[in-house]
Amino acid sequence: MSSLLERLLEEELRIVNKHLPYKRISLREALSEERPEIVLRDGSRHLFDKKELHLLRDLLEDDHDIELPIIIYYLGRGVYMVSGRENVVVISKVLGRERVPESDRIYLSRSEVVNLRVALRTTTTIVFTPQVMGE
Amino acid sequence: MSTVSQVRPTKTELLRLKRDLRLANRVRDLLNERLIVLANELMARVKEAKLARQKLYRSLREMFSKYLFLRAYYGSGLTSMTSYEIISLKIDEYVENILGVKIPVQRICLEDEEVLRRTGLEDFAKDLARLLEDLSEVVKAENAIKLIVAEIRKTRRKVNALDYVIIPRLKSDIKRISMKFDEREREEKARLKQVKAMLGEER
Repeated sequence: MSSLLERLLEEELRIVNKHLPYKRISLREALSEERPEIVLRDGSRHLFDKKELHLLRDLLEDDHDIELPIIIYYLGRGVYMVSGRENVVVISKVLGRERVPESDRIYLSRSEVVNLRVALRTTTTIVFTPQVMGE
Repeated sequence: MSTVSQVRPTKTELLRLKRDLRLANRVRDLLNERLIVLANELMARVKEAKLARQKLYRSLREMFSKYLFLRAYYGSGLTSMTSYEIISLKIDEYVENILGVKIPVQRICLEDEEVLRRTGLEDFAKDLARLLEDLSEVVKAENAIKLIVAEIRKTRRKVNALDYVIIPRLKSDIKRISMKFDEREREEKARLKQVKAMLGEER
């Protein structure tokens, strides 16, 4: 196999998480901005939908804050996970789960992620974990 | 694979091919997982587009019934009221990044509602603003669907290339080199046996 092909394959592994942000911003910070946006690893800018920001603010308890975008870790074989206490609370509420898990992690199925991504399109992002990438 | 590649049957080459095969398998698995996530994302966008379209139709129905009422009330004067004024629209453009798929988004809104307010159509201005917002949502969701489908096709092509061309070719090359090594080993053994037999005869 040529080295060009080898480079192409390695490139695939490198670009898979290029849509991640360089730096996340807090919900409070995003709400205070006229045009809430972040810079992604590929250099492009990602704009948050203000409606989603207001929805998150309403779901959060007073003086609590979260980092945006909320990162959904893809663990492979259709299983997703979100970590962080505040994120768990918010996501449970968005999905309409009756009981909020007590742990700092919440595992999501494919259908739940579909619903979550419909409700929080710009304020969530999916990340491929190293085990999915075979590292 | 029927193609015969020009690979030198050396140990270094065999090691390189095995490394390439591992890499190709890893990339194939990753692309398959990416396909699953993209398909999931597509389902989310389809659901979003469906909801957005329902909302748009509701807004259009409301707007049309309001228009009919106003038309009945003002008659042809309604069009002449608004035809002298220019209703300017504002377009806010930005790019959304969904799993590396860049989706251009255009949000259309009224730049100045004052024109409609001046003509006494304040309610109409609000409805029009909502209608434009709903329209933008539909465009955004349907545009996302098209681009995600294109990305799925692209990824699927890459997976197929790996599954049906690259990986089988690498496997056949590895097999060919391994067989060559086995053959050399067998030849070596046969030669040694022959030498041993010849030495035995001499004694």
